[in-house]
Amino acid sequence: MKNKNFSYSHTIGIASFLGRGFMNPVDVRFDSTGLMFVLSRSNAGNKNVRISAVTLDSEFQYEFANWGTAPGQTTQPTAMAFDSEDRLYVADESMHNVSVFDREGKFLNRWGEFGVGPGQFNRPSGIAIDSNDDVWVVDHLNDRVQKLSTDGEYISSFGSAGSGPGQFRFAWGMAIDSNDEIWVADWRNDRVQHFTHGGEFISSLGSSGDSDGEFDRPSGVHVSSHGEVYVADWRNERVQVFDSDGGHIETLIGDATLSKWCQEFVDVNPEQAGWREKAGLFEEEKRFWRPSAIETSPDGLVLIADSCRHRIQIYQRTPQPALV
Amino acid sequence: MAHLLRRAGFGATRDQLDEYIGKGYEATVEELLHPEYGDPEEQDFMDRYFIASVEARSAGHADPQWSWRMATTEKPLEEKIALFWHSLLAVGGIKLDHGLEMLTEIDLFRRLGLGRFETLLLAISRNPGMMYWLDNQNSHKDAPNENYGRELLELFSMGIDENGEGAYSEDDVKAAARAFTGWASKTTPPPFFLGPFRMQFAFDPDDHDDGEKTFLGETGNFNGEDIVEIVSRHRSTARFIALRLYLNFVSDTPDDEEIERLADVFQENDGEIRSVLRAIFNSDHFKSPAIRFRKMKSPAELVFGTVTLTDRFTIPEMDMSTLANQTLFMGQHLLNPPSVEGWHEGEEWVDSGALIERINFASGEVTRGDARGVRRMIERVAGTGAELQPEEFVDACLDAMGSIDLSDRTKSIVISHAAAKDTPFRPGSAGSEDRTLEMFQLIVSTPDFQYC
Amino acid sequence: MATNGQNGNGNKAKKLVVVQLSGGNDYLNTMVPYQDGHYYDFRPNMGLRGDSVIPIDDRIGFNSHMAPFKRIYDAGSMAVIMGIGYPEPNRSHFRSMDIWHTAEPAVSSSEGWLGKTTQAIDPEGKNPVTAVNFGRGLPRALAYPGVSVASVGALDSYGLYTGLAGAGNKDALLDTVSRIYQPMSEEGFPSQRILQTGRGALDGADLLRQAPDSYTSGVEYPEENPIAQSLKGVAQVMSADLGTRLFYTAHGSFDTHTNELVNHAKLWDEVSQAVECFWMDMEEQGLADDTVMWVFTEFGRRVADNGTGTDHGSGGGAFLIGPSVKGGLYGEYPDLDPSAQLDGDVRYNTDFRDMYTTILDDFMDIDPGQILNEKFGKLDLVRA
Repeated sequence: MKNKNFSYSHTIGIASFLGRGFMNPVDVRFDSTGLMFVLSRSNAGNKNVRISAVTLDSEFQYEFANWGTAPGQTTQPTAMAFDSEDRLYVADESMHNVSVFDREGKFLNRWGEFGVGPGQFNRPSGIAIDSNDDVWVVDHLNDRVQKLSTDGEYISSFGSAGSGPGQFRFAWGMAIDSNDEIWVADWRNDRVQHFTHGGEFISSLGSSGDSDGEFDRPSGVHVSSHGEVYVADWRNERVQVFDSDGGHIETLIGDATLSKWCQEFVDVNPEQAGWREKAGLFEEEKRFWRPSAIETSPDGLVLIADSCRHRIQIYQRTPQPALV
Repeated sequence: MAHLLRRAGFGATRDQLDEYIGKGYEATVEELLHPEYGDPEEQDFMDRYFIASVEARSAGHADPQWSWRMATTEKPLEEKIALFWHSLLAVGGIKLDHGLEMLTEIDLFRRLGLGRFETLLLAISRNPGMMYWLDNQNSHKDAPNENYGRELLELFSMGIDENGEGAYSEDDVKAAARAFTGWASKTTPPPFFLGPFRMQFAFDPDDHDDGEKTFLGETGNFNGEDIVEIVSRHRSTARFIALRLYLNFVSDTPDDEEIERLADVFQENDGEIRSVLRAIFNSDHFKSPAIRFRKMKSPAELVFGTVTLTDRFTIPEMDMSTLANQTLFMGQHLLNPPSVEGWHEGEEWVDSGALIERINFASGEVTRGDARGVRRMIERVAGTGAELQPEEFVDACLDAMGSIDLSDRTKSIVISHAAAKDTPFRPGSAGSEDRTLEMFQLIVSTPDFQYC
Repeated sequence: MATNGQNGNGNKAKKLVVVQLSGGNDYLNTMVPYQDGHYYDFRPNMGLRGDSVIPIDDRIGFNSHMAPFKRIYDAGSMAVIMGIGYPEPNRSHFRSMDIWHTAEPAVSSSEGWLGKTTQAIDPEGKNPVTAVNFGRGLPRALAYPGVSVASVGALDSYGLYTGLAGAGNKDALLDTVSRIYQPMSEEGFPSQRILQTGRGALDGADLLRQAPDSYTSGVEYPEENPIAQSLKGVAQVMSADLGTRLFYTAHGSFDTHTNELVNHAKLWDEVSQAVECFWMDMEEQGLADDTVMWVFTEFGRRVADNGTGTDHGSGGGAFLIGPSVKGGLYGEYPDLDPSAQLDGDVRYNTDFRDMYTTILDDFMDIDPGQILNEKFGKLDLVRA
């Protein structure tokens, strides 16, 4: 399958329990300087959780937010977002809180606790920040989206449990577009919902299935600065791209080549390289396996967190759509 | 009914028992015997919260998946039969080192485990993990490796007696090995840089010995399918599978007469496992008091039976992943049986270290006052009466814990423990809840609780 | 009960302390061939130079984070076994560890060499603490049908109900449980076997939990060092004289695929400090001559580094330590010449089962024929 509006650029990553590499990356974000931050989720028992800072040419810089419950540590992190001052907010669904770091990974603060009240969480998952630097959190087992200040003070919330408009079933990722409108990946309902900044329901995108415009447990949603909507169609193993009116533009299924780090591994491990050659699963190697989150840059780079292949696949949007 | 659920599943809460009793015994047996194959909707939770178990690179990464299923299943026999086949058609995660493939096998057992034995045996013979585990990779037309041929006969189908003799000869082993040449798994890429890839079975006709073979008295140009077919209709296979089902579902001590009867059922029903189990569960022998509470619980039965009782996992929370570690501490590393012979079962499960782990785990679970199942147990005890004498209190606790029994000797000591405090026991009075939890804790600490 | 493990053969019947380096220790960066050009050719990023090496001779030196090991070596109490391994090296952690645990490279076995040894020491299982494992879950090395091994997380919290809330009633509960687990007549239910098992578990737990009570030592084991704490537990149990002959500990993870220079150094700081503390303690307790320590790992790493670490390889090296050991270098340092390598790995020249034979026969006074399925050679490691 040939991509119409995207050209594959390159891939960054290798499966690694610590240091250079990732372990089940579930989110990816740029800071204001274009440095890439990757959130490795790992498994509870394996404790390889971390956030890695990496340049787009695969230079590993540093890591932080490693496994643990102490301040500055995370256990089951789900998503992250930068505010306008490059502070990074990380939602942790087992500690039911949000930790805040500066872009060097220095721990600043954390807030939130288990509960159903305002400012409390039951498994916070998606997180996004609006132009006013207010923090929005998908509080997924409370079936709501909460709006909080940068230090966790409750401002407002919307949503309830169910399948109707403005209702959620185990929502996961979220995004805020350049108009400050809210998009939520309503995971178990197999749809993405679109809300005004005030939390009023605007529209719903998608339904259950595997055709264009249909989803199987969408985990992440992202809106580019050009207004295009990217949905991580998690269990369909693909990313779907829509225009701002919900028209289907394209479906990406993964085009990965060996990353620089993987190539280094293959070079020094001839035996394992031989197995790979003999198995010959080169097409399968390219494909997404549970893509869970998307990030874009203003100049059209598209980053996709390919969770079960431990890598970030990078595309270039081409041609550039006109700014709206 | 409670006995049926302990053997065909991981026990049941008192509420679940009431529901089953409403349906009737034989109807419950039929329901258990006919699980509708397929993932429950909640599978998506597991994948979401334990993303590394989706691409399970090792047995350790895979086991939360199975733990979640065993802890929450509404089709208990589907998991129990998978556990049975996992210890009989045993593939060890350590040598295979491929969690994804281990999960594929468990699912194969769910799908085929109650159907015809021949279908299952053929499927496992085409399972790439099994081919790798028993070295069929290295079995070639010009140099057959006998490992799979031998274990197929000795451990998977026909069995051997106490003297190590089977109803087959060394020549039969050699013929079977020749028939399985060319059966292998394809080369799999290593998981070290991109995570694992699914294993695939491959038959290489060029590496298959298509010549004439004589196997168990029959002669032909046999392939593996033929061997499986011949083996599956052999009387000793019927007897061996009947024995293993008996040991797993009825008693640690074989009863020859009953096993012969079950072997007949096996053969009369074309080797359908479901029919044999039906013949077991509906028999007077199975229901007799001499059979109840005399079979040692495996670590998995102990752990998942206790978790079924306390019913605390509505979602796969983080410590879901520790359940499999618990069975490991008790001597049963799920997805990693120590050898192709599976585990040494029965009373051999319990050594002193394992017993300490069992008691500490179970008493930790049943004293979780906030778990749904524990709340219901406390309510049930409290609902028994306003004043309970020590024996009544102990009986109420035993009933609330899923209608379980203690031997007379153990029970008298447990009652004396209850009698050492203020009597009668008054539900709702200060400290009554702690006393109830303490009684739960004591009951799961008894040797009796180690049996099902 | 045996006293200090002495038997008819006197001081030959030593106690064995095992330290397992889990994850695959990078031998080339442990015992560094600092004069070998091949080493630096293959280790452009991970090669250790200058102050990072403490030379032993003009070829080999310890990693600089092993200074305590160097001191023990200089005292003549450490045998370094170079080039140790087995035929057709397996690079799976699990499988290779199994091979070391069962002494069976060819077939998958469920019987551990130390489980068999436990049975040989105490055939009737009279002493519930003949073998003590520090850590939860039994390593396969100690597994054997009918053999009970105490697996201890932490000594002071070992036993029934230790991690539980509501400890107020614990004494009454334990008292009742103790009454229940009283073996009775042969017939009847619960079975004699499980009641005896329960009795052994309770007695063993009492013994082990009380072991620290009688222990005093001037040695301060580092608090934040898990292997040091495990070895302190070993010293405590040993000083309580419970008849324990086998002690098992593990430390890791040595699986240094990335960031090896930092992680490997930290691991060896921890292990070598812990081991030195332990031997100082043994001297203080007067137990050093009765004790021997075996340090091993499941495999070594690739000869070539991968940029920031090293991947699974072969030949991880091993150490036998104690004043009764004739210290020195044993075996051949593996040849790193590309033509001598085995698919990018070192070739072994000493079979690990030679070491098991040596330990069993010359230090434990146990017939290796009872434990190993074949006959192997021995190394001459007993100090005269």
